Amino acid sequence: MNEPHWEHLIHGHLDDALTEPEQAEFESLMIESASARRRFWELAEVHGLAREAARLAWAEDAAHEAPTGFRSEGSKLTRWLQWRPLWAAAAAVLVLVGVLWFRVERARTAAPFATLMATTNARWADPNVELALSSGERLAGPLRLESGRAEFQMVDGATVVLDGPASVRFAERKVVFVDEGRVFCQCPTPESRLSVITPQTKVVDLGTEFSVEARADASTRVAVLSGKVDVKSPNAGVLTAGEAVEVRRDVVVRLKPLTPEEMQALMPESVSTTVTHRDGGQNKLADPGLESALPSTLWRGTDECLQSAIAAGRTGNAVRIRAGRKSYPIVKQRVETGDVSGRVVQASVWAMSPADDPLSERQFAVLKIAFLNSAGREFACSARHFLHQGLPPGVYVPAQLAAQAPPGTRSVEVQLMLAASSLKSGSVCFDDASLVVAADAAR
Amino acid sequence: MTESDEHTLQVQQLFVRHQGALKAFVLALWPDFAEADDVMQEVFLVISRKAAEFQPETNFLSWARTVARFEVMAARRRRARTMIKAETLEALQAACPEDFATDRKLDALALCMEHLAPKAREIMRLRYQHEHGPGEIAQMLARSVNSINVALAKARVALRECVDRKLHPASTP
Repeated sequence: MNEPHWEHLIHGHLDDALTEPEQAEFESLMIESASARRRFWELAEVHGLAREAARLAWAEDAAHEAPTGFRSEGSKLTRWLQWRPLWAAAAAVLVLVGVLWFRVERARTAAPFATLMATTNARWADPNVELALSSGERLAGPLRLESGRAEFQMVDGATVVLDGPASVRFAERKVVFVDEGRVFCQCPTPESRLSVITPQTKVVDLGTEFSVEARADASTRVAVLSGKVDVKSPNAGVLTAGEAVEVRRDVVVRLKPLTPEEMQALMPESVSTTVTHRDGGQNKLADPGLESALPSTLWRGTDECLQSAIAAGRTGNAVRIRAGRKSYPIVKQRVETGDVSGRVVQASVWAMSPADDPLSERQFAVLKIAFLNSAGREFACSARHFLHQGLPPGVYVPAQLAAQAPPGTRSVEVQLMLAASSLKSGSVCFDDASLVVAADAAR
Repeated sequence: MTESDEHTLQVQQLFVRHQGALKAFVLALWPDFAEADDVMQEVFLVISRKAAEFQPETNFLSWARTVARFEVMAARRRRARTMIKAETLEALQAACPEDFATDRKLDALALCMEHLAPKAREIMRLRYQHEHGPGEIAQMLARSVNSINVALAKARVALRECVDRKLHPASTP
């Protein structure tokens, strides 16, 4: 058998174009000839990598390409997440959330209507949701949060906080579909106003903070914390701060006015701007200004971390992390808090994308609180994503995160990361971090 | 987290780390992208289920490729597709290079793709970016299936040579 014929058979296999006799011929060749097998792997390697290589090589072309009659993405929405952009992120996120490997319904090229901003012990029915959201994917299907909390920012600025168990869909720019569970919405500007649709009703924001809960008993509860909302069910109408209704099959029941305690309970901690600390808010971090050179006994970091010049910090030095080999280069400090179970822990930091190496699309900074057990192992965490593209380089912005320490917490670690998204450029500078533990449970 | 859970997590992390190479391996055995995606899902589930069988000091890729080979067989059987003999797949796996489909090769291939001639580029985009088969591409471009098969074959050969030149500049002409 001559070599051109080998090539014909191998390419025919790779294009799934062999006839039955050719298939038999191909198999005989592969069993009998070591040279043919070698050639097979040479060409199969190109085939096996070509899809991802095409994405890398022609991503910009695809982004600007007008829809045509023969694009196939629409019919392939339930396909697997492509592997390479995710494995690097997954390697790090595995540590945060563990991983299972399931399908995610998604539209590949569309920008997301909602960006995942923070999580607290979030456990998703499909852990790939977190990976995909962190990669900037728009997920068309429902997001099922089994437990914990997840905070999203809508594209127009509204904040939506899910408390698990909850199922939601971000399928439209200004609409959140809540199939089950409770969401808290904060719409700070007229442009950010949105509607929440549950199986029982539609809630239209009129500039406010409100909570909507789609309940398992086929009812929906709406509670307004500030401003007002319009509940689109007969006899419901506009609700103002402190008012709440229950909608069940178009029957609307006005509930008794919310007490201040009930209103506070509905306001997620991670959204509230301040957390009450009865010990006066003492910062437990050593060297909170990240002044010491890395690595130090206080702050530890990956190779991608270096100390910036004095001018780079808000005050004094700042630590600069640049994209490199790691997907999530990190600097972190562990604080031996002792048993702080049930107490509110709050972390904050300032971060900036430097003008000489700004963050790219899909890169962002991460502030994370890791809760460690008596063996020093992380068993729960809360994380906030911030400094997404769109902010001007060279400007420090703050990030804050609050979470209740779960039972068994013996120490807490503050982690500052760059979500590098497999890119080799892009830096973030961190400065002035804090970790505060409330004297006792705040609520 | 128990010791067993940790071991499973470590095995899953190895899968994530090597999934690019593993996916390329599956695509070599079953070149259909959608089917290969499904096979990868099954491979992950099997690997998670059988994590205890994996010894950390042994070759993960080799173990995972064996799992993948069996999953390709099982999936083809489920789909009632033309079967490839088990011995063929075994012979192919045995010949698979250790450095098959590394990230370095992926980067080189992406660079090479940028320099394809316009016609080859168009066909490769339809095949690998839009995931159409040669028959569909022929219809779209109003050409014969045979001419598309030939163009795809030529483009793959050219890309192979280009990758080799980039990775081994001294040893290639």
